[in-house]
Amino acid sequence: MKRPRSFTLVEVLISVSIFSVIILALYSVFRTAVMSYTRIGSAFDLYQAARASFSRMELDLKNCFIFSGDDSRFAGTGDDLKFFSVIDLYGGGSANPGVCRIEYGMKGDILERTVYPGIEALKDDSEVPAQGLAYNVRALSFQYAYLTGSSDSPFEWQESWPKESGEQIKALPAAVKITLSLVEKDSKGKDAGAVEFSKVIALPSLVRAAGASTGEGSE
Amino acid sequence: MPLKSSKSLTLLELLISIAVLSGAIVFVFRGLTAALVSFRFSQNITIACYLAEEKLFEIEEKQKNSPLPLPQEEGQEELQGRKFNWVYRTKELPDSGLVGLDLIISWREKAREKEYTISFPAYLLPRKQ
Repeated sequence: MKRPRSFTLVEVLISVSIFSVIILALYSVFRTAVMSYTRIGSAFDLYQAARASFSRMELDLKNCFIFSGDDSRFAGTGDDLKFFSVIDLYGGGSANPGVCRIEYGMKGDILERTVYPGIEALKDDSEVPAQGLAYNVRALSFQYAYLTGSSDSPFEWQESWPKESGEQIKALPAAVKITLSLVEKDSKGKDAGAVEFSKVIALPSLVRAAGASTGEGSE
Repeated sequence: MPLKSSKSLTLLELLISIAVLSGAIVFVFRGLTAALVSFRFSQNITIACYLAEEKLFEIEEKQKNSPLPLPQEEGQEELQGRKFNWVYRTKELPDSGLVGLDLIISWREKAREKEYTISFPAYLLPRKQ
């Protein structure tokens, strides 16, 4: 029986080098795949977080109203916001629309939303746990639209609401502009720059008008 | 009985197989780039919608203070390092007394070398004369 011819060293070397070329190509494909997967994933999370926070805030702000009590009006500064609203409180497993006070603000790098439901809304010292709306927030700012009534520039953005002047105390801003800057993480979990989102939420003009004319509760 | 060893691969066959494999890898790469490009496209749609919301508020407030339909206006905004063009036209609708608005946001997708537009039609109430 003839013994089958074995591989020579040269043949083995050639096959190993060809194989390594193929493996390298495959490796680079997988590496790129994993890298783009993480990149898309982190960017997607960022957009998702911004969209989710904005839609939550939109729901809260579109339902806001002016309450006649002195401490319970729409009060906003450049980096936090307090107002009264009507939202679903989900009491006992079912949707339960109720009056509440809502506060937005930053704690560290977390955008927090605190809801004081029912009678808690009128107390200053009530202890209600805040919920995190967005994480890895670099900056959050609010601007408030004040209607000037002129046809060239019908509104102005101002940094706080109400301003010192009297008429704004009993009114809601025409719109709130929220600017949210979120930190993007790279594949190693390090900061890879921030992405800025900005949304204008117009408040319902009917509520605005009712609040401005009577200055009283306008539910 | 002598075992005839099967014919070994020639260099040509080997080269062809590597070429086929690299062709397949190119397709995989293309799939990855396509995913990145379409993700960027969806990001741009999100940004364009936020921009449209802001513009719609601006236009609505302007129209409230103007008895006539607003003149056509256009401009460009840079958001997240990407350029977005906006243009709007208004048209008086005599039957309803409303003003028809067409807001168009457009941007260029570099990777696809194509211009994309989204149109946001709306109706506005002019100031009573």
